[in-house]
This record gives sequence, C-alpha cells and structure tokens, in this order.
Amino acid sequence: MKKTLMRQVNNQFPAPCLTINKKYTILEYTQEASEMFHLTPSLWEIIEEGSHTKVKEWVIPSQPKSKVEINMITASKQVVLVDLYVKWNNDLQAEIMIFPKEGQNQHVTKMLDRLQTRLNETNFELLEEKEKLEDAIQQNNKLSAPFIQLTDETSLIPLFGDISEEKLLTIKDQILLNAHTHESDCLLFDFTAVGEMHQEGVYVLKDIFTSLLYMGKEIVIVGVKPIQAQRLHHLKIRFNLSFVTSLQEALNRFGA
Amino acid sequence: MDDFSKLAKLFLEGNEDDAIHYLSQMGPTPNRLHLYEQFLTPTMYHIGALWERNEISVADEHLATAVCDFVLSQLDSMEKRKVEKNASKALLFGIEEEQHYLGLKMVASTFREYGWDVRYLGPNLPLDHALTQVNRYKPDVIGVSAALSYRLPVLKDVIEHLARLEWSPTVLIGGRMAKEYDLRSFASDRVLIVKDLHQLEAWIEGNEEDINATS
Repeated sequence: MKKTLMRQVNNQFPAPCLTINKKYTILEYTQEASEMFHLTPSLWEIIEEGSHTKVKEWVIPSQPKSKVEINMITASKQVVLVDLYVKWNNDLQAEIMIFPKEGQNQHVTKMLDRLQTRLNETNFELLEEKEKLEDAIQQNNKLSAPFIQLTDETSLIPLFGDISEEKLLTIKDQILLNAHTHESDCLLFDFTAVGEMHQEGVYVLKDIFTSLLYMGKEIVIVGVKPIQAQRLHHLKIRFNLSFVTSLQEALNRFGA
Repeated sequence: MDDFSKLAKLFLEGNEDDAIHYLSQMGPTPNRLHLYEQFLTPTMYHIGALWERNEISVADEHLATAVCDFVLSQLDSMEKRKVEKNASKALLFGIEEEQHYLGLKMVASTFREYGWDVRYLGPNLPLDHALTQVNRYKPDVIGVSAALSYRLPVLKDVIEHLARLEWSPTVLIGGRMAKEYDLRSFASDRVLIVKDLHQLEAWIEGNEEDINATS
C-alpha cells in the first residue's frame, strides 16, 4: 500500500482547508489548518467523538456538496463548533473548508452561562436564607412558652405570639417535660401576649391540656381576650379548667 | 407525528407555554417521573438525533435545552410532598466542565418527590467547591453526573474523594456516562451506578424500606 503523506498547499482560500480521500485520510492542508489543529494523517484525530457518526453520514461521496455542523478538537485540546463545507471533486477526494462558529455564538453562550450560574447561585443563596429563617422561627417558637416556677404549688407559663400548629408542636414536649419535673400542681397559662389563634394550633393546645390533666395538674387560663375565648370554646374540655381575667388576679388567687 | 417530535418541535420553536400545556394533557395525575422518563428525556435525545441528521444547529439545541429546563422547573414546582423533619439529605452536582444538567435536575426533582431535603448545586462544579458544600451539608446521598467520556479521569478523582468521607454517604453516579459506558469498576457498596430515573426511584424506595425495617 502506498504511504500517504500530508502536504501543505498554498493555492487554497486563506482559511483552514483540507483535502481528504474517502478513507478520511488527510492529503493536503492549508497553513491555517495546521495552525488551528494538531494534524495527523487521520481526520478522526481532530473530530470530536460525538460528531463521528455525523461525519460518516454526511461527508461521503454520495453527497457531492454538503454543509455540516460538527465539533472539532483544536491544537490546544479545545472542543470547537465548526461548519464544514464539503465538496467531493470525484469519488476519491473531497475538499473541506472549516469555519469555526465559536466567534458567532461565543458571546451569547457565555452570557447565557453567566446568567444561568447567577440564577443557580441566587437560588442556592435563597435556599440558605430560607433555612436560616426556618431555624430562627424554630428558635423563636421554642422561646414562646417559658416555664416559670412561682411557688412550690404554682408555675406560670406565658404564651407569646400566634397559636399556630407548628409553634404548639415545638413547645408541647418542653411544657410536658417541665410540668413533670417541677412539682407545682397549678399551671397558669397566660394568654395576655397571644395574638391570632389558629384552629390547628388550638387542637394541639387541647392535646397539651389533656395530657397535663392526666398528669394531675390543675390548669388556669389567664388573660383571654373575647375573640380568643370563642376559639377556646372549641376545646370542649370541661374538667378542671379555670379561667381568670388578668394575671394580677391569678397571682392574687394562686400565687404566694 | 409521534409524541417526541411534537414536543421537540415546541422546544425548538421556543414555545414553553404550549409545551407545558401539551404535557399537562398527558394524564390526570401528574406523575413527574413518568413525564420525565416518557417525554422530556426521549425528546431531548430526539433533538440530539436531529443534530446528528444535520437538521438543526447547536444554537437550536441550546434553545430547546433552555425551554426544557423551564418546563422541568414548572413541573418540579407543582404540588409536592413537604420536606419532612429529619428527612434524608441529597446533594447533587455535575462534575467540573460538564455542562449537561437536565438529568441532574430531574434527579433533584425525584428526590424531592420522595420528601427528601435536596441541595442541587448545578453542573460544572469544581471538586473543591463541591467538597466544601458536602462537608457543610453532610448529605446522606451525593449524586454526581457526567455525560462525556472525557470526564472519566475527573469523575474517578471525584468518586475517590467522596468515598473517603468519614460519615460514608452513598455516592450515586448518573448521567449519560452511566448509561453508555461500563462504569462497574467504580461501583462498591458505597458507590452505585444509576442508569435512569426508574432505577433511582427503585433505589429510593428500597432505601426507605431498609430504614423502616431497621427502625
């Protein structure tokens, strides 16, 4: 078999051009082509893997003239998108002109990438902020029902903020645990600083009260506003709940 | 016209609203995974094939990818299970230089569907950045995606680093590479190769059963 040698030619257009045979061996190349690629006789060496099928299908003598977009590998190992203009002179040889498209698309691609990265970062930062906020709310919830022992018999539990399901679930365990470890039998639940009362929150409150009653505690509800009273009405626990209008009165009655 | 060609046409036209409308007619109960595996993934492969057939350009492909991304985000934000307290955590990223991310996004969405706490870091993430996040977040599962065979050395390096983490998270390898190449030499009891979303789903369900069985 005759050994094929590549040779540089100068009678072509001032662009990366190649002449190949039908076995995809490079026969001739322009100076521009040798500057852009690391040329070996095999054309496949400079064509990116994902584009091989496309070349096999479109760069063939049965397509005498074709234009096809593929990815090639440059001398600096970069993958570049190019348009190939292919012309078969006969069944044996084709001339190929290579036009990199990067220049046309690069700016837009880079901008898109940058926008995408920014969106992603923003998304991620939002997620982190959301988590911080959730932690803060959780922390806040935990602090919304301090357990204050007033005397041996009486403890005060002022509730703060809205009665929401989430908050009540957070404070449920700590209230029950404190009620268990402290000896006081009388628990004053102060509603003075309570805002909205949500239905689901009220249900959890009912659970808490019921558990406390089973534990043998006396529950006194203090400082309920009229609108809240209507909500509490749904509790429908009739045993051992006393109601007192103000904390002052409660302290007089149950305090030291 | 089959389903992929119709959807591909909408994607290539940049017609995201019609694409979403089209998908919403595909069933009364929107099963995201079904939509991803039956429609979005084959449509994007179809678009890749159109490029191979010299019918569209890379610019068209980029547009279709952006539309698919938009559709995916819309589907993902539909009603979903709330993240449970003490939910298992998954962190997902594409290795450095890897620009393909649609599959990774579908994986994130699948984990969310199962009530997992998910951190999606996107594609093209250098290893040291990934490790910083991994160490901060301490995920139970780390999903890594790679599409092109050039990434093999980087992927190997990433897996080696992740396999050394002291709390031994499970490492899942996905992406086109998991589908097309034999990555079995990377697999171990901590490193799994996941070929598609159905396999992922089966793994998540099996995992939940394991947890339930031991607790």
